[in-house]
Amino acid sequence: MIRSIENGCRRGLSHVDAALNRLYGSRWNPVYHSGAIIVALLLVLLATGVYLLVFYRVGSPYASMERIQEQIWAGRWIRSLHRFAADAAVVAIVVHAIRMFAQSRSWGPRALAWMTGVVLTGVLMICGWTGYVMVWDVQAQVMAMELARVVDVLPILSEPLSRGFVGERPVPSAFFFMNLFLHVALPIGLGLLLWLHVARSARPALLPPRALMWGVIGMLFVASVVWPVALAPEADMFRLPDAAEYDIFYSFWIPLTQALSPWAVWALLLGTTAVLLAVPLVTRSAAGQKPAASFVVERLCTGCEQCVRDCPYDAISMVERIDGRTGLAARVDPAVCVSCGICAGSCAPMGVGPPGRTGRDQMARAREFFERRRPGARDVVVVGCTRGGALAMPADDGTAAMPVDCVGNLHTSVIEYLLRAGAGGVMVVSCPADDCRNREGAKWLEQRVHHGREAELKERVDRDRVRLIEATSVEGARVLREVAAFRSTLPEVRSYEEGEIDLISLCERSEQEVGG
Amino acid sequence: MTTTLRRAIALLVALGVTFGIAALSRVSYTPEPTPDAMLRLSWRVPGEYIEECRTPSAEELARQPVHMRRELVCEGSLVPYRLRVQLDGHVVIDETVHASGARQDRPLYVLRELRLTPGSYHVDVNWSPALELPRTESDATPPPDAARTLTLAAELSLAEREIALITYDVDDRVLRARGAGLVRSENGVR
Repeated sequence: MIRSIENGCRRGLSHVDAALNRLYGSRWNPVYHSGAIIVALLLVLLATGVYLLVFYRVGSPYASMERIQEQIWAGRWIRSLHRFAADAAVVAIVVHAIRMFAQSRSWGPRALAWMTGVVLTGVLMICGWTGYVMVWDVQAQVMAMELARVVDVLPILSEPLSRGFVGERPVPSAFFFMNLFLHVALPIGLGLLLWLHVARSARPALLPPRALMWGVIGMLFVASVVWPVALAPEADMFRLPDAAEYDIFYSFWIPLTQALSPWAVWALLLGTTAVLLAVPLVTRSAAGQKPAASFVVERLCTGCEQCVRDCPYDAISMVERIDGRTGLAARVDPAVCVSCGICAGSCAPMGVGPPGRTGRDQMARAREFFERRRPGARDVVVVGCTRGGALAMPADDGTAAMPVDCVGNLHTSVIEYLLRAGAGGVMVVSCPADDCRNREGAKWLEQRVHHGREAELKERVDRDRVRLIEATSVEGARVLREVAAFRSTLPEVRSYEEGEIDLISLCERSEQEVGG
Repeated sequence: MTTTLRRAIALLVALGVTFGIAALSRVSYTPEPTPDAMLRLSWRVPGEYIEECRTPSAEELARQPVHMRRELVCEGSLVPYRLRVQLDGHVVIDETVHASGARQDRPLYVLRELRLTPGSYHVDVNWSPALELPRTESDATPPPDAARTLTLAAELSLAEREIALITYDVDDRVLRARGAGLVRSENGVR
C-alpha cells in the first residue's frame, strides 16, 4: 500500500512539476527548492523577529503589540511579514516532505535527514505556538488554554496549568518572559537541527537561487503591505472567546483538541509522530531489492579523487592502498552510500560504482542494447533516467530508449560507444537538474559532456550528435518532439571510421586484467 | 504560449499562492460556537496539615541506627475538603477534594467549569473540611490557614459568553465572586 501511495504522490507531483516548469523554468521552480526556501524564510523570520523584539514588552504584551501595529510604515507590515513567512515555511515543509516521500528519499542513509526533518517541524510548531501566545489576543488565549488542558491530563504537575488562564489573577509576566525566551532559544535549536539535517549531504544547497529567494520574499512583502494582518481583540478571561481570525497553519489543531478528550489528543499526537518517524522503515526497499552500496576496484583506482569530489553524500574517502602500490585509493562507506551510482560516471577507468551499474556494466549493456536495436545513422538513441521523461515517450515512434538509473550514473564512454557503433545521435534525458533524486546527477553529467569534468566526454566526440535535455516523467510527448527536432539537425556525414577506436575491446582488456 | 503570457500567468500563480497563504493566516473561527455563559470555580488553598505522632518503643529504637533515632515518629497528611455548589437550590457539585501531588502533600486546588444558559442565577458555595480535625489544648488558637468552612452566596446575571469566577481571596481568606455578571455576593467563614 505504501508503494501505491508513493507512486500516487509521485504522479501527482510530476504534473505539478511539469506545469511549474513551464511557468518558471526548472531552475526557478519553487517546489524543487522547497527545502532551501524554508531556510530563506527562517532568515526572514530572524530579521523581522529582531525588529519586533525591540518593541515587545513582556510586562504589557498586548499593549506593545498594539504599539507595533500602529507603526504604519514599519511595525505593521514587519509583523505581517513575520507571520506570513512562518506560514509559508509550513507550506514549504509540507511540499518538501511530500517530495522526499514520493521520491523514496526517506530511508537508508537518508533516514537521518527524514527524522531530523520531523523533529525540525515539531520544533517549528512549538516555536510558532510561543510566538502566537506572546501576542496575548483571543487566539493566544485559546491556544494557551487548549494546550494547558491537554497537558493537564498528564500526572506530572501537582496543579493544572489551566488555572493560570482562568482570571484568578493576571497572567504573570514570567509566563510571557518564558515564551519570549523559548521563541528566541528554539530557533537556535532549529539551526543545530538543520545542521544535522544536511549533515550527510555534500554541498547542501541551503538557499534557493537568488532570483527565486527574492521573488518569494518580495511576494510575501507585497502581501504584508497590501493586506497586513489585524490585531485580534485582547484576551479576556471573563468571556468565552467569540469569533476571531486564526492562523490555520499554527492553530489547525484547536478544533481537534476541543472535540477530543485530552488522552485522545495525546494518542493522536503520538500516533502521528510515530507514523512520521516510521516512514523510513516502511518505505525502505525489501531486503532483496535493496540497492547495494558502491564498491571500488582498487587495481583500477588511480587515486584521482574525482569520485570523492562528485559523491553527493560524502560517502567516499581516500585511504591507504592495500594492493601493494603506493598512494591512496578510494573507499566507499556502505553505511552512508545511497547507491546513487554517480561515482560510476565520475571514474574514467571505470573502477567504482554500485554492483551491476559500474562503467563496465553500462558498456556491456550498451553493446547488448546496440546489437538488439541496431540504430542507424539517422536514428537517435535516447538515454534516460528511469524517473525522467525518456521512458514516458510514446512507444510507436521506434526511437530506441536505453534506461539508466540516473544520468549521473551514465559513463560518458557509453555515449561515445553508441555514436561509434553507428547511432546518428545520442540524446540524454535527465530529470530537471534541481529535482535530481540523487541531487547532482544531471549537473555532473552536463559538466562531463560540455565542461571537461572528469570523466569527460572526449573531445573527439562530435557534440552536434549529443544533446542533453531535462524532462519530468509526464513529458514523454515533449521528449519525442525534442528527438524529432534533434534528428533533423544531425549531420549527414558520420564522424567516425569503423574501428577507429574499439572501446569495447579496451574495456574487455581491462576487465580481463582485473579478473586476472 | 508567448513569453509575456507565460510571465503573466506565472505572476498570477505566485500572487494567488501568496495571498492564499495570507488568507489562510486569518481564517474566522469561533472556538465556542454556542453562546453559553459559564460559572468557573478556581482556587488554591494551602490546606491544613494533620499529624499523628507516637513514641517508638525501646526495641524499635534499638533497631534504628543511632543517628536516626527519634523520640517522636509523626505521619501526617492534608485534610481533604468537601466542595458543595448549589445553583438555584439544586446541587450541581458535591465532591471531596483531596490535596494534590503524588503524596497528596501539595496544596488543594479547585478548577470546575459549569456551562450555563445566559440568565440570572443564585449560587451557593460551601467549602468545608471533610473530616473532623483533632483538637488539643495546644490548638486553642488555630494558625491563620487552619481548616475553616468558607461559604459564598452570590446573585449572578450572566449574558452570552460571560464568565463568573468564584475564587479564594488569599488576603482576606474568604471566597469571592468576580466577573461582569456579578450582581451581589456575600461570603462567610465558620
